[in-house]
Amino acid sequence: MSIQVTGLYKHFGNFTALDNVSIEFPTGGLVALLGPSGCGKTSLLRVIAGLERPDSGSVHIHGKDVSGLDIRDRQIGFVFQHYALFRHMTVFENVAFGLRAKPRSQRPNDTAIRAKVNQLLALVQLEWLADRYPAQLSGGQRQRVALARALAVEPQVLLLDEPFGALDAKVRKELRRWLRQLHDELHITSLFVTHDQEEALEVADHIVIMNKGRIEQHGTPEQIYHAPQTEFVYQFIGSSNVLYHNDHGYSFAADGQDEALKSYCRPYDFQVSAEQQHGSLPAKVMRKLPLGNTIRIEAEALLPMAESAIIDVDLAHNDPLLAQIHQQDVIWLAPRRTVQFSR
Amino acid sequence: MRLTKHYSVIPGLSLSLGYTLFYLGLIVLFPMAALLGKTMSLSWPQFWAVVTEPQVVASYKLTFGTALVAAIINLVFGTLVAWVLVRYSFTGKRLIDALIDLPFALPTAVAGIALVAIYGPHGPIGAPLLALGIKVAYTPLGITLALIFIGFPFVVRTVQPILQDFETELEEAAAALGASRFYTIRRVIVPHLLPSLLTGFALAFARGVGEYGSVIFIAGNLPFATEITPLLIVAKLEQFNYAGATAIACAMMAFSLLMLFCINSLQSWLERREQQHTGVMA
Ligand SMILES: Nc1ncnc2c1ncn2[C@@H]1O[C@H](COP(=O)(O)OP(=O)(O)OP(=O)(O)O)[C@@H](O)[C@H]1O
Ligand SMILES: [Mg+2]
Repeated sequence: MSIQVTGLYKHFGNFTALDNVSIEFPTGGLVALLGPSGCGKTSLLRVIAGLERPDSGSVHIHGKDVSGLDIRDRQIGFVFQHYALFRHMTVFENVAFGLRAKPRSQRPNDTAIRAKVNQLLALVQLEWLADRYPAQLSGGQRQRVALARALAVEPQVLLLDEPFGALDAKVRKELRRWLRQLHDELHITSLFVTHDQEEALEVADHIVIMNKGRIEQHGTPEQIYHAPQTEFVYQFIGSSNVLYHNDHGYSFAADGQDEALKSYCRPYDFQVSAEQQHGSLPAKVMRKLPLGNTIRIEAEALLPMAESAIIDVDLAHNDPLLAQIHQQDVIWLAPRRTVQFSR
Repeated sequence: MRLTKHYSVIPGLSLSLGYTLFYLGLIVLFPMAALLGKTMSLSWPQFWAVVTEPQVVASYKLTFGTALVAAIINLVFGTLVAWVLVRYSFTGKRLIDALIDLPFALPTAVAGIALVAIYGPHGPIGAPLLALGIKVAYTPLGITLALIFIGFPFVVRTVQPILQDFETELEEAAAALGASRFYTIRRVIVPHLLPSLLTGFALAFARGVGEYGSVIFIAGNLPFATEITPLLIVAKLEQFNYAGATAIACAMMAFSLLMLFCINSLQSWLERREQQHTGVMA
């Protein structure tokens, strides 16, 4: 196991940012740390890097206890959300920084540095920008420079804190595909933080879901998506609707809302029809949102009591039913598959 | 003056430029012209004789020398103080932060008297130092000390805001790449601070050259040894030798302008380099 953390606690004042975190990250994997804002993803990454000291617990990298080591001695590549490039240095000098910073005895000579930097710039496809300054680059290019810079010192593990967080949707998509390819080439154990579940599902071969300083679940994207083990993970990955189990079947609202009867249903797990069927629930169509291949219907549950709930329902874009239903129409929803978490 | 006209969201270049020139003329250029005018009453050889008199030349050396040393010392320690104030939190930090400005607010004569009281031959620090054979008061050392005192806030106050904006992530990035602390300071932090360091240095230096009030008490004002140029000027004025006083003043002004011009050029060169780095097209 290339990164192993055991019993990590980290407090900021009274706030617990990491609450007994223990996990092992597989060697050579590309792991996504996913979770809502403030759940401690960055804190975990910084503790692993040595930028932050945990209150207790240990970090092992490739079997070696690095808990007492300074970040300088941990052989870690760290990529920041806002690039953290040295703006008074050219792209070339940025990438060469780690090599030039080595103590004289370990420092490669100028020719070797030049060769290495050029090779890295080729790897990130930016050779033609070697003489530019960071401010003259686009966000995506900057992040690739930052990555090349981190790789220059041949780190044992690569830690990326929301590497694509500051980029627009299209560039994000390009870059994450590219990161995946790069990882397949280099096989360097990588850990990246994101709060974009799509990004995690698409890029990572292992996902760790965090919540309130704890690890909720970890596993392959398939496991996370199709077999969520906790209510939090189920709700966090993908949209879901809340239903309550009762004697007749399901209802959108339960009398007294008994938490023990709470169930969840994915938007695509409804049988939708224009007429009432056995066990179906009425809802009024509010909006139809085109999401590409699927059409999302936002419907307001028609409840006996005053309170209202918005239900998300997904239909295939070519579903013949779509032509029949319009805004303000009443549709009938029968849950095909529901999930209940015992507590 | 080069006018580069480029689009600005705030209009009124001609108005603001006109105002600037008028104001500058009234406040700075006009008095300087008057100074020159007064000096004109001397012939060239007379002027030259006054400004190259050995006693006067000795005073230039003293004035510029002590101001330079004081500014360099302020540069180093002012930067350190700014660093501590920005980076660390400790009890009494706000008080210390407020104290930094004291040399600005204190009448310079008060500063001078206080320094003599402490570093004078009978002062609590001056006496032990004297016993060790280090004479502070009435030596260039004492003058330098006074100039360090009054120039101190300039460096702290120019470097502090830049340091505040400096992203700690850059240091962390350098550390992650294995750079030692010293290497990080030299290659990452100092290049970022350089323009502000230079400004602080220039201000402290300029202030030191022009300082009078706090220096005369601790200087002892011995000709050829501890007599600063501003004191010579005042002495000449007291003898109603206005032309002589303005002649020395002119020479001093020329020196000061030359030095400030050099520092400014260095700075705008840095700035241009910086703009190139940040991609701002001038
Ligand atoms: N230096 C600090 N001082 C005080 N509190 C901190 C500090 N750093 C983090 N925290 C707190 O710890 C919690 C976890 O922070 P962390 O940065 O790890 O969250 P995150 O999961 O990375 O969130 P985001 O997705 O918003 O980046 C947050 O509530 C934050 O307020
Ligand atoms: Mg974060």
